[in-house]
Amino acid sequence: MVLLLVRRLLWTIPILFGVIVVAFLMVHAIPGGPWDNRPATPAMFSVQADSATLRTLERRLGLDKPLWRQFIRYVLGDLDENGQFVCGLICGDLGPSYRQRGNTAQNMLFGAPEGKPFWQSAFFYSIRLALLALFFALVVGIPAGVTAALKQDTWIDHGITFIAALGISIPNFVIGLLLIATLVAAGVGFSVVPRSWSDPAVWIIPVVVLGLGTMATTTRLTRASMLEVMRADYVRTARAKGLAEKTVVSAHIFRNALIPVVTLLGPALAELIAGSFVIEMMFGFPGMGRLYTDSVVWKDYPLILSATLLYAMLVTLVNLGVDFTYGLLDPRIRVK
Amino acid sequence: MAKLAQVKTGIAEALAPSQPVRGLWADIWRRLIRKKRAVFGLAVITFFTLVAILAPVLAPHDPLELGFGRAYLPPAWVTESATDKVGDPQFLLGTDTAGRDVLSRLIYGTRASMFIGLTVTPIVAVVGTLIGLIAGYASGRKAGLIMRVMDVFYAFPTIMFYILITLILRETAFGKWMNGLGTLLLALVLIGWVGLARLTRSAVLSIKETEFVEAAHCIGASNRRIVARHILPNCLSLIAVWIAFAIPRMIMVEAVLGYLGIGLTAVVDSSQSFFATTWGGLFLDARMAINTRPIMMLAPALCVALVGMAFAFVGDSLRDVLDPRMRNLI
Repeated sequence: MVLLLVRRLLWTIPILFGVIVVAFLMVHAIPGGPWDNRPATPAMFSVQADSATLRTLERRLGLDKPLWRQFIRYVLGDLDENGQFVCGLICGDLGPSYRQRGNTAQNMLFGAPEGKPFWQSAFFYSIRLALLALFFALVVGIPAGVTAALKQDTWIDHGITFIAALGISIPNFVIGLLLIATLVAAGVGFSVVPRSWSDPAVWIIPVVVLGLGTMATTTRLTRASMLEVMRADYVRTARAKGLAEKTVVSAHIFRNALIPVVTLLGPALAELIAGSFVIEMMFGFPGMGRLYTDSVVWKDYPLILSATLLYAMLVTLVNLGVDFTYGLLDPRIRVK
Repeated sequence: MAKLAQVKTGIAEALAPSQPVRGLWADIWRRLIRKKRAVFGLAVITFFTLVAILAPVLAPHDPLELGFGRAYLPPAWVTESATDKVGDPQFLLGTDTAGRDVLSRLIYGTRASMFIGLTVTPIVAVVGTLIGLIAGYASGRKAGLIMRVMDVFYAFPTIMFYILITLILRETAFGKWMNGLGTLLLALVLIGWVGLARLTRSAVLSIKETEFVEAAHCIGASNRRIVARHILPNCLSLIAVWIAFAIPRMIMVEAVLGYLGIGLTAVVDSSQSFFATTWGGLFLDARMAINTRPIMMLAPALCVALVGMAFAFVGDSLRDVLDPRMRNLI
């Protein structure tokens, strides 16, 4: 089992390398470099600099070299102008930011603003958003599913099932748009992009919008799993020996019904991390999503590559974890 | 002799099916339309498809016709207190900043978005199925290579892929063709196949081990025949359900890209393109006007939500009808 885990972990390296190759080629295929003033670049993003400065910059960042040299420089490292070897991606160096002088991609992703704790960084903002959305999905979804199952075939059940069906079938992007438009139309004083994210209240809408789909899936799964367990023999036995209904529900039904829900956690988290991208951009959330869009506009190559790699890594690792928890919880599913 | 014939017909009568024999897909259809949710979904899909086809007939105005005298009208039932603008019943949902009728644009947007969903998905389905069949049936290096490529594409963040592809091709001749429709279709196909290929592959892997495939091998059927006649038909239900869920996903990608401003480029000249706008384009327009004209966001968002819901209902019912065990896969 451990050997298998190590092997699978090692497999993620070539996969992520592949992602880097594809992303690198694509980023460099975008017409125009980071410093040119093309008509397509909005005026505010264009750089005012003379050509000599630009040439120096390009030489220093290795942009004058052929593409394969740039790739090796990015992944492995290269000699700098003083003849010193500077290590690249394999040492965990994500490279300098092209557009924020003196800043590194690393710092922009993981570094918090000065004097702020580490969870104020772009990366942890995104992680926090995803985790909060997951938390919201579970806190609302599980009780809703349990209620629906206990009141099966009443209007409460029908209502919950219907809402869950809506939540599953409508993508959270559209739910977000609908919510914003409805709030505005209803005349609620509300700004889509808040000034500051330190106020917990402004987190509510993005978290709810992001978590709604997961919440619906959780509800549906909890309900189905509860209904299945409620018909199990050991539940009948528990009732037959005269246990209080409360004990039967909480200790016998609920606990066993929760097992499939636990297996859902992993895929749900992977989905939330990938899905947070669009929601972040919608609400101007200061996470990786916004950093990514900015870096695309600025053609800040190292930042684009880092963000892509980070997303790919998170999703791959979470998926890997999912495969293994499946194997642990249900020995019938073999991890190959 | 006469007795034997009598017995024979008796047996034949006893064995004759009590109901007329129906084909597999006819049977599936019959069971599908017995589900309320599937009927609702199919009705909504038919409605939007009809709107898409009949757009020029249904739209009250030209979606590209500018009218600066009537710019930024509120919906017909609203009288704006701040500017004293009164809604015009001629423009049911109001007009945008250039005086274009929002309802007509919505109808034309339906046309483009439905077109994208309904044309891309079959292409993606064919590509994905083919690759999945090869990866599942072939063994050795070829399959391994395909698997590695699949892993990479699977790990690649989808939205980022779309954004990069659009930026790469936007200024080329291909990117400008049909206002960027070509780029969008290409991007959707390039990464859309991965999910289906993985599904098909895992299905093929288990079908490959069945007795009927072994039997086909024994009577000397060629690999090609086995894949086409024995394995592919057994994957079809999986593919059908996948298609039902994939169509709204394609529509959604267009909407997200449009909202971000990197979808199809805005059409100004009516002779320029078949599609005046898309739902994504409408979201972009509405994004600018969100505080004063929420209806411009609400209307297309409702359409997208309805279409997404309809396809999900049909896909759900289709899965239950075909094989409820698929629930664990899609």
